[in-house]
Formats: sequence, structure tokens, C-alpha cells
Amino acid sequence: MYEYDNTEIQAERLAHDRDHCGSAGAVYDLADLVRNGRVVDPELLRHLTTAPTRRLIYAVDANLDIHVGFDGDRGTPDAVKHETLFHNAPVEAAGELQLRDGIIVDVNDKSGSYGTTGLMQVDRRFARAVLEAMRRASAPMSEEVLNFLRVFAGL
Amino acid sequence: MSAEDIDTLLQQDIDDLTSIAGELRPDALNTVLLSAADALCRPEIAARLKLLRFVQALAASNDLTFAQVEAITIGLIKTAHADDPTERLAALRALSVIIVRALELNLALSHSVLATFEHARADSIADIKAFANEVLSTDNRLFRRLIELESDAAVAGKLGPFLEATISMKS
Repeated sequence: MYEYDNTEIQAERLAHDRDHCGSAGAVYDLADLVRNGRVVDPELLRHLTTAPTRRLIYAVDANLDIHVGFDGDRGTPDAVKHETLFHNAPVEAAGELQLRDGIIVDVNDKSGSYGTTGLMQVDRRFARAVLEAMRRASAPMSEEVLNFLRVFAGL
Repeated sequence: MSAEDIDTLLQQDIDDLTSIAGELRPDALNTVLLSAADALCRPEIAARLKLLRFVQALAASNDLTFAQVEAITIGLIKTAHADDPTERLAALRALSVIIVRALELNLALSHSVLATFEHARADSIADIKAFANEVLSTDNRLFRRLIELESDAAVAGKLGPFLEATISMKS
């Protein structure tokens, strides 16, 4: 599991009012956004397509639930950051998702809060957690994403 | 880059540092990485966990040279024996990223990495076993490489705990 709570990183952010555990920004269970095999944009109500200015972050918790939110600017009110997704709880995986027309076309492991950057390729449990969470959420993934996750997961 | 420059850099949020890690030009990467390696060896360094995660992000986001891998592993090995278990785990995770990336780049693993196992404290064995669990990639490249290294006279016998844990996981 990857930790954020009670780390020196959280302590520093708390001291500077930059911790977003309790942010009121919107957090979604990915399963709730899947309609007819596509991920629907909860704000625009059409198939979700992400952009560099509108990045979707994710985290998978111990129950293999996957929560997502649109990445906000740290320190601004109601910004959603990785620690917001499960309110500081330890996670099995965290990173960013890229979607095109409601299909997940890239998954990465980039999270400063949880320190997971580079570990998807190293820690099989990470990729397995992402795969299982996506399966349970019925989240659509491109063949390419599915294949590299399977390779990293050892399946 | 001076020690003060690294301290100043580490005042930034780890999210920003993670982004910076993927955007450095080669000359800047070399300067930052070598300075970060030095900083890891400073006992008084503040924000050590942040520094470890920054180093991990640097390794994950860039193609490192052998000299860079060697420099940074020395600092990580020292931290892998720290009293703080959070720092130990963070150092082992960063090491695991570096090892896998080094294998991808077909770099010979630095023997100094293996010293981690040779000199592991008794209470670090559990960490090393956890590390073995984390570091195994699916195609077992690392495992095969470790077996090769174990047969090297210069490192023979140093990988015992790691291989024991690895073999037990695979069976």
C-alpha cells in the first residue's frame, strides 16, 4: 500500500494549508460514470475526453474501488488532488488517466502525494489493482492499455 | 548546484517536483541528479522523504547514464539502512525503479547496489523481502539478472536474502 497520511509530505502541506484531504471538489466512483461501455463526462454529459488542461486523476483503495476526479491546482479552494480521492487513506495505486471519446487510452502512475511514480512497472500489485478495479467498474480500456497492464501485472 | 540550491528546490511541493523531474534537459538532469545524490548522503538533510520521491521520479522519467545510476544508488543505499522505516521503504522503492530502468537501458547493475543486501541489518531483512515482492517484474528480467550476478565471483553470496524471498514467492 502507498501511504500519504502522517507523512512529512502531508505535514508540510498542512502547515502551508495545501493539503486537500477534505476538499469539497467533486470525486467520482468510476463505476458510476460508465454508461453503455463508455465513460461519461460528469460535467459535460458526453463521452469523456481528457486534455492537458483537464487531467483526470485516479486512485484505487484497499477494496479495489477506483475513484477519479479532475486534477485541481494545489492550494486553491476545493481543488481535487490524489489525497482527496480516498481522504488520505492508503492506496493500492494512483496516477492519471487519459481518455478519448469515453475510452481509457493511457494509464500512468504519476502521483507525488503517494510516491507511486515509476512503480507500475515494478510492483505487480499496482498493475493488478488497477486491472481489477477497472474490471469491477466495467471501465472501457483500449487494447494497448489492457495489454501493458497485463504485462506489468504478470497475467 | 550547491546544497543550498537543493534545499531551495525541496521547498517546492512534491507534485511540482514530480513534474519537474520529467521536464529537465540532459545537462540540468545531470546537475540535479548528482546534487540530489550528494544531498541523500547529508545526515542533516530536511525533507528526506520528499527528496527520495523526487529521486524516484527522476529515475522513472529519464534515461540515466551508468555514472548517474551509480551515484544515486550510493545515496539510496545509505538511506535504505536508515532508522526510519518510512525512509527505508521509500529508498527501496526508489532503488527498485532505478534497477528496473537500468535493466531497460541495458546498463550493468552497479555492484554498489548489491552492497545493500550484503550489509543489510537484521531488521532490514523484512524490508528486503518486501522489496523483492515489489521489484519483481513479470517477465522476470530482474530475477534472471540477479541469478547471473549471483554467479559472478565478485558478488557471490551477497544476494541470499533477496533470492530466497524471490524464489519463495515464485514457488
